[in-house]
Amino acid sequence: MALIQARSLSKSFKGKSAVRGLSFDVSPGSVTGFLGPNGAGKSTTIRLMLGLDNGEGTTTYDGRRYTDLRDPLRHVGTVLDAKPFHPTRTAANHLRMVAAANGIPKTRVYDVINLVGLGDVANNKPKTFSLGMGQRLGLACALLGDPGTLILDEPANGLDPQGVHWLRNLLKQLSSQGRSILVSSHLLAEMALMADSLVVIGRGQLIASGRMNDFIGSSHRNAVVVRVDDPQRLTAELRARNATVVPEADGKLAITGMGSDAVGGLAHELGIRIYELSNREATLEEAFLEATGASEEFRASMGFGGPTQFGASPGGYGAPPPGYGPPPGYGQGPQGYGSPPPGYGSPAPEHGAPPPGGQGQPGYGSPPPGYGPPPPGGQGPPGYGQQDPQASGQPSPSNTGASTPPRETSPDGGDR
Amino acid sequence: MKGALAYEWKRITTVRSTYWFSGLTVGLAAFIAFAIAASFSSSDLTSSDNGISNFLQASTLVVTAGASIFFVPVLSAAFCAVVGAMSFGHDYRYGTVKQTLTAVPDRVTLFIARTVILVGWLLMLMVAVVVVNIGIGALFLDSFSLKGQSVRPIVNFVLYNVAFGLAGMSLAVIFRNLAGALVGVLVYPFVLEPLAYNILRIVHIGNVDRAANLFPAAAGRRTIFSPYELFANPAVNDPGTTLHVWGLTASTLVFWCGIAVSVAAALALFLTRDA
Repeated sequence: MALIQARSLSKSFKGKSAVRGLSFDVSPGSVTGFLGPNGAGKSTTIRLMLGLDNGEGTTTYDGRRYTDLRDPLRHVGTVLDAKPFHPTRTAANHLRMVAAANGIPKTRVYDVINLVGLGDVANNKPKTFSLGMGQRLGLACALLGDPGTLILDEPANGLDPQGVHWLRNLLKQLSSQGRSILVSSHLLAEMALMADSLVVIGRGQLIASGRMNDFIGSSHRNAVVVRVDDPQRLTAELRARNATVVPEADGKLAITGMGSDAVGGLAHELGIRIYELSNREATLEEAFLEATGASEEFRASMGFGGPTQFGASPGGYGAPPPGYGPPPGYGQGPQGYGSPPPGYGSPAPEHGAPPPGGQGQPGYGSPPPGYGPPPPGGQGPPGYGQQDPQASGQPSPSNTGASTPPRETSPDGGDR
Repeated sequence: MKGALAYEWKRITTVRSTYWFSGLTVGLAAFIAFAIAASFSSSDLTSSDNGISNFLQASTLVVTAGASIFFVPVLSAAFCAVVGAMSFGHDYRYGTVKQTLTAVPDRVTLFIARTVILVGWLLMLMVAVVVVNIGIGALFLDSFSLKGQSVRPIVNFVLYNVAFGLAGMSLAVIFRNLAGALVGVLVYPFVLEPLAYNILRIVHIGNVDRAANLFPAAAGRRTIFSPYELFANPAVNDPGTTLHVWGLTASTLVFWCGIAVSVAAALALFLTRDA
């Protein structure tokens, strides 16, 4: 169960710096999300960590470099590409080959191939595999040596929702066993459920590293939102107390620099009637976009004249012009996601899908905090992006069903 | 190294194309050997004054699938080159090189293991070719006989094929591309060198045509000739040439230096490049 320590990782391509002095730790017993915009250097960093690319800096696994590890797959398991297999070498033979390199018993091959749900297709050729099945085989390869450390580059790519759910629970289960897990992903909502810690990079440099809650808590999207009968007077009083007040749509005020108790108390003292008072907590996506806004390598112009039209504020693009902002309900509510579509309001603890339109109906349990029906106005409840798997009705690592993942189907619809 | 060798053995023995090209090598060589054996009659081998020499040469010709005389191309070498190119070429074609290097992170160890297993496989393959061709010669060639003077061309035939496998492997690393390696390993010996030779012959300035002695593929091809002096002499098929061809030892040296340079270049690039 290794502590990963990356120190001063740097890499340039033809004079252009891809990774610059990157240092971070990944602790045992945690899932650490590795986030960054496209081109930020995530994959390059992972390759540097494994000695696959020539660069500067060192990465150690309990004090030893990857290239110095004896039988490295017994220490570090990796998923680097979606389908890195010879198309006609069977899945079992592929795993036997990798096992042979690291003195891993052959019996382990079928253990892991069953673990990832490919037992039925163990002797099939990967050329018939879907992208998701390829990912599962990659995961089987990573788990082959029962390593204490996992480094996974976009492991959820190509997985169907059941597969993503299975992967999340598997990683949670593995981390609960004390393993160190570093996962890069673009699926921020998934990462919010999966990761305990984050390493966020942009343009090859470290933007943030630490606990996820701390990262989200640092977002300026966190605020006290209040709707009152006299917003002008309350605004003046709040500003007199050095709070920052931003008027929002439909007469609400977003307040930072003062807690909800203090805001409520002040309104009471002033005799101002409160219609609504809530804490708006940023989502991981909002915090991520805020943190990496100026670090995006490739910006889409959206056909409206390029990114310069959106301004070039240090924190990102600045405010979009009228008509080009987010759709109604997105980013407007207390936590920014607006109302969930019908049928998504209450995930069932038993993993089953609720009946159409059923939210918190008998047999499905009551909606956990953050997943219930949204308030009027298409504003989702706080905490959507930070759901604890337990609180959101997700199974715990002890009942992940990780050993019996859902079966993947072939593109033609048949079981493989 | 033990793990790397085990990995490589699994790698080469679990891909169907290895067996396809190995089978084609044996099959094609056997077909050529049979065609040669069937084309000789007893009178061909005993009519001249040096009949003994004739049937020894015919036996060598059958065992080497025609490679011991100058005008028969060594097709088995092309298939060996393909097997060699696939060793690294598959890694680059299917993007498995990163996974290979995470399983065996020491690149020198991996390169050596891959070379050892490839050479071992090709040696076994060419020994099989020779054994099959001996059987064909014994069955279909009148007065089939192998004496001491047959050993050198047969051994060089085996090594020439193995060397082409190494050249294919090296080009796959250098180009990081299977198709590029295959084109290179086939076009260079069969197109570029003959083209350059003819240009040198036509230009005919001073002794510049002697540079043709430095063409490694042609030099390697000459090492299989039997008798060397007869077939290595360009005047046999090109009476207009004044080229003085180097001896067997020098040709052998040129050939293996060429192979060594390609392998060394491949190793140097493999060690310094990103995966």
